[in-house]
Amino acid sequence: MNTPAAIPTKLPETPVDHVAHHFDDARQQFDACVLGMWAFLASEVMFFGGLLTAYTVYRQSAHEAFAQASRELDVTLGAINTLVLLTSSLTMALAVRASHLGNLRMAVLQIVSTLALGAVFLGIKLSEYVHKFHEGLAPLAGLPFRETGPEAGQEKLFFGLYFAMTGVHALHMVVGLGLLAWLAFKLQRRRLANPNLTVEICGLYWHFVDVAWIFLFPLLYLIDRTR
Amino acid sequence: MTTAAPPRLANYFIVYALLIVGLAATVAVSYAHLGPFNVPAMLAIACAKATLVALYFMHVRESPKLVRLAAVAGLIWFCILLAFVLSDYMTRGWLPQRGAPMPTALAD
Repeated sequence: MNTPAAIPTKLPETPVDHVAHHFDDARQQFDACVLGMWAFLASEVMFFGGLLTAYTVYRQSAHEAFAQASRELDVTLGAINTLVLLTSSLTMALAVRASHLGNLRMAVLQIVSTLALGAVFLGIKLSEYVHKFHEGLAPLAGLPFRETGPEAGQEKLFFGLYFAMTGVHALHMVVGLGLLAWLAFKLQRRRLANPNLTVEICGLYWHFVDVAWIFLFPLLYLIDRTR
Repeated sequence: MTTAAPPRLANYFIVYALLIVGLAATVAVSYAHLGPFNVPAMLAIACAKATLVALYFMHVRESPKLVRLAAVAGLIWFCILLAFVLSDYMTRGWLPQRGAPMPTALAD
């Protein structure tokens, strides 16, 4: 313990824990980093929490208009996207498991699968956005709004919240895709000092984005489909 | 840090299957006539799915107590935010407003 650690000039092929000097051991380093990530995720919950609170306040005051506007969204595409994102969470969890077992080749494969599924999600989301713009259901930047009835203002509010909430979520997806691309590249080149720690942290972020969508999908797409 | 033994591979697929069942259930609930129970049912399913992801995919189940506490902290702070905001918005009609006609019971 007291001998100065030799800094390897080239990182070994199999993962070996590299412990920073301010940690006692690899276990402490791992737990501290995971705790830090959860603290960040708690702040992310509050970030989405503001939007969710605004949504709750307006939905309880304009329930009928929200239900009506919600029926304009495409349930099939929303459900497919949920399925895609849940599957990407599975592949990410498998990547984390593989890296813990020291199987970095498998980890890279699973991360690339996650990346591909994330891209599919964003592609579907983009096509939905384009459709909404063509339909005149995007009350952004002074664009004309299709609905003109007595509840048009409240429906406009729903679509404003829809674009804000899914937009912020999509932004997190874009960040996540960048993160995964970086991770796959570094992992493939064996350039990470603590591969399983880094994969674990990136995995936590990806799963959080999935959890956010688990709530957004029923709140936005499925308010009331009985009519 | 190489953990002792990661969970069995099968566990991940079981959790995934449960998540798909949850997705089907939440879509089914929105098409069902449940009256006032639609929202609670939908939220319960979403919370169950989120819990599954957190416990098994995010390893909260095998994490130290401090990490579990941090994981729940976000939820608790969000509940505080929601509770205080709604305690304002949902009680605005409870008291007579200045300039508004007084309810008959309070008029004299």
